[in-house]
Amino acid sequence: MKLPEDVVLRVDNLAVSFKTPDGLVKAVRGVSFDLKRGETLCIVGESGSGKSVTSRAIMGILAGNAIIEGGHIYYKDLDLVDVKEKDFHKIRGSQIGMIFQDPLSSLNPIMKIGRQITEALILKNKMSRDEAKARALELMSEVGIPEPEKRFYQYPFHFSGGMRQRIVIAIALAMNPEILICDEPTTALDVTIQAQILDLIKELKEKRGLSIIFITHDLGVVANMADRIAVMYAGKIVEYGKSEEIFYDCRHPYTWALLESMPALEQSKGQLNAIPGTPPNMLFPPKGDAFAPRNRYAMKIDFEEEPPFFQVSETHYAATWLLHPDAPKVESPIKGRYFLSKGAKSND
Amino acid sequence: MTNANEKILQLKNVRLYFSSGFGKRKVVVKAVHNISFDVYKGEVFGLVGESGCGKTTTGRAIIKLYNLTDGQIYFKGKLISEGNRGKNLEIKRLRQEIKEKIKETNSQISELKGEGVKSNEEKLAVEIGEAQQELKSFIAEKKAQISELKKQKALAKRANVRDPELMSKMQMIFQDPIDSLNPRMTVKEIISEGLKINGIRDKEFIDKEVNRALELVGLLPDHANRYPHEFSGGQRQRIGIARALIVNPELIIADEPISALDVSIQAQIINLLNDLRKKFGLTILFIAHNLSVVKFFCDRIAVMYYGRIVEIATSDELFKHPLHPYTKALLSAVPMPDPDYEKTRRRITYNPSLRKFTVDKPKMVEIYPGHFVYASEEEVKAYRKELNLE
Repeated sequence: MKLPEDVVLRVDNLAVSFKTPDGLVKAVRGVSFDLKRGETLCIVGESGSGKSVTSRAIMGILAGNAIIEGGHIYYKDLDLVDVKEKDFHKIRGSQIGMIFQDPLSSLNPIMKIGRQITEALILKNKMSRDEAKARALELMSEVGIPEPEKRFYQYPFHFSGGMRQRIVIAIALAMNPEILICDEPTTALDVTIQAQILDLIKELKEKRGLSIIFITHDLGVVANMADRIAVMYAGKIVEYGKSEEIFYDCRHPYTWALLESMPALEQSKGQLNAIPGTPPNMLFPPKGDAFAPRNRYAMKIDFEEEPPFFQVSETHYAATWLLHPDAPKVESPIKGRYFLSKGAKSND
Repeated sequence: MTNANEKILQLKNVRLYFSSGFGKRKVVVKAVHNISFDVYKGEVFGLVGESGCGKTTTGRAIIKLYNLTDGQIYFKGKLISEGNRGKNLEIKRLRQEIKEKIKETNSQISELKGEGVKSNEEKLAVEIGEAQQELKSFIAEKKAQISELKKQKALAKRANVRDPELMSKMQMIFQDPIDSLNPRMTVKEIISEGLKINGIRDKEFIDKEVNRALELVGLLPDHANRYPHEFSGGQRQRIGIARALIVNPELIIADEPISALDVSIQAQIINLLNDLRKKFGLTILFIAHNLSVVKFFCDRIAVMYYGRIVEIATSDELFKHPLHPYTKALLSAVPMPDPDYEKTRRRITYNPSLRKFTVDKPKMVEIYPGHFVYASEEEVKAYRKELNLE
């Protein structure tokens, strides 16, 4: 299949399950999206919604008990689902890079930082040690590590959390990948450090023209990073669109609930609108709309039939029966609820 | 709601140092460095700061999981723990003074003796006697001071002994709902442990109380015989809250109770804590790093940085007029779910080395009623100006 010019990666109806003693856990149940060249696509969802599994399927690093039940991942002229492991290493790392959540556990504690960065360069690019070192020093100063010459010979425990994440980014970028997958890269970091790392990723994206898949559950981080957003729930994308469309004009009750459950800065004391209940058990995926049992706007049809994607605008789609022409009109609870900037504007 | 007159918890010049190694290799980590604050009855007091700034250590020191290095903690007006570093230093200093005085007197006497060859012996004896008398009274005075300090140390030792009745009025909720529950105990055993420790053996009463606590936190009585692994993260945190509630506490120390939970569950736990607080008039010390939740939930907030409290204010005041540069940096780094705001956001970075305090030593200053900031005199002037302008 030939991809359109502006699309780097296309995930088409991907379904992934895990074999467990209790039965098949259906982690991803038909996810489709395009990653456009040079954009940041944020995938938002709770833990267990299948966002990490999707990204691992793209990298070809699913756990041993995972089964790809269907779907395709198109990259260049390849379908990554069919690529054999012995060929995959040409793509993994060198064309699609990945950053993980915990910077400490993604680095080898008994290997010097320099060796960890140059490892891939020497093995894959067949560089000499000196060349690789020069390249590594360049990378280290690019990701903002002071005194790279000295730091090159230190171990991961010498570095703080933020610095470790910078090292991980340097390793991911060593092979000049085209696509960067960031799996909650800032969840383990402090807010001030988090802001620095996010700025760094944005800067590198501009400089290198990376296309980024950014996975997180923090809507604040999403607002900072995203060009487009896909909201995932129970193994499916329930809504996707441009960043502004999702934050200011979202249509799916789950997106409403997510935004509502965060306290806005001007919100006075009182109750938060929490989402009742817990996410469904993916051993037995619910019939119909998976969010229906926790949804106060649920209709009878939500429990019986899965909603298709309804188009809201050219770039904005949502899978909820509320958008069906026959559905009752429901006013979005997010409407009129402004976060910082708009609230400040209306005060003036 | 808050009773401004009744201080339920008072921290006075609390220090907590951890040391490791001996001799030249000895490393002292000053985790908490001279902090003081009061928590009033019925309020939610937030403690924020980056990881490693000492906020968890403070919480753990209050509930006596650590022994204080220095300072005092009062709970419900009673001294519950006291550190002796200050007294030990004072005793050391006094002993040093005595030693120096003895040396001084000895050299004085030997000098007199050298001169004594010329003058008559009677006068010499009187002078030596005087010097010795002075030394004696000096030593007696200092020794009295030392024994007074030693008495105080003994008192502190007595205060540091755990008073079970008082301490059961203070409970803690931990960060990680998985690690903080024993996987080999049933929910009932976990929750009732507090009662059993307090000497209650009546099985019927325990059953009744466990069911009551479970219902309070929104779980069902038949959850009591299950094990923690059968529950989701949010439910486990509810079990942790039930365990804290069973002994009818007045103060709850919540150490990042929601940071390990999903966004949708976080709101549930915050609502639950809010309900419980209203129902029982609980006081909560809320330790967290998520500032938007802290602003929503807390009445007053203390910002910590490297073991020190740099600013204390009511939550509205702190967000409206942050004064300390670190608070400003922290607030500017909070991501907001609003793309327009995020695009225009300006991040402030905090560089402590820019602030030099060699001459103008900083201290806690009340700049505005109820708004404390850790600043030097020069900075206080600047802050006053900043506030007046607005």
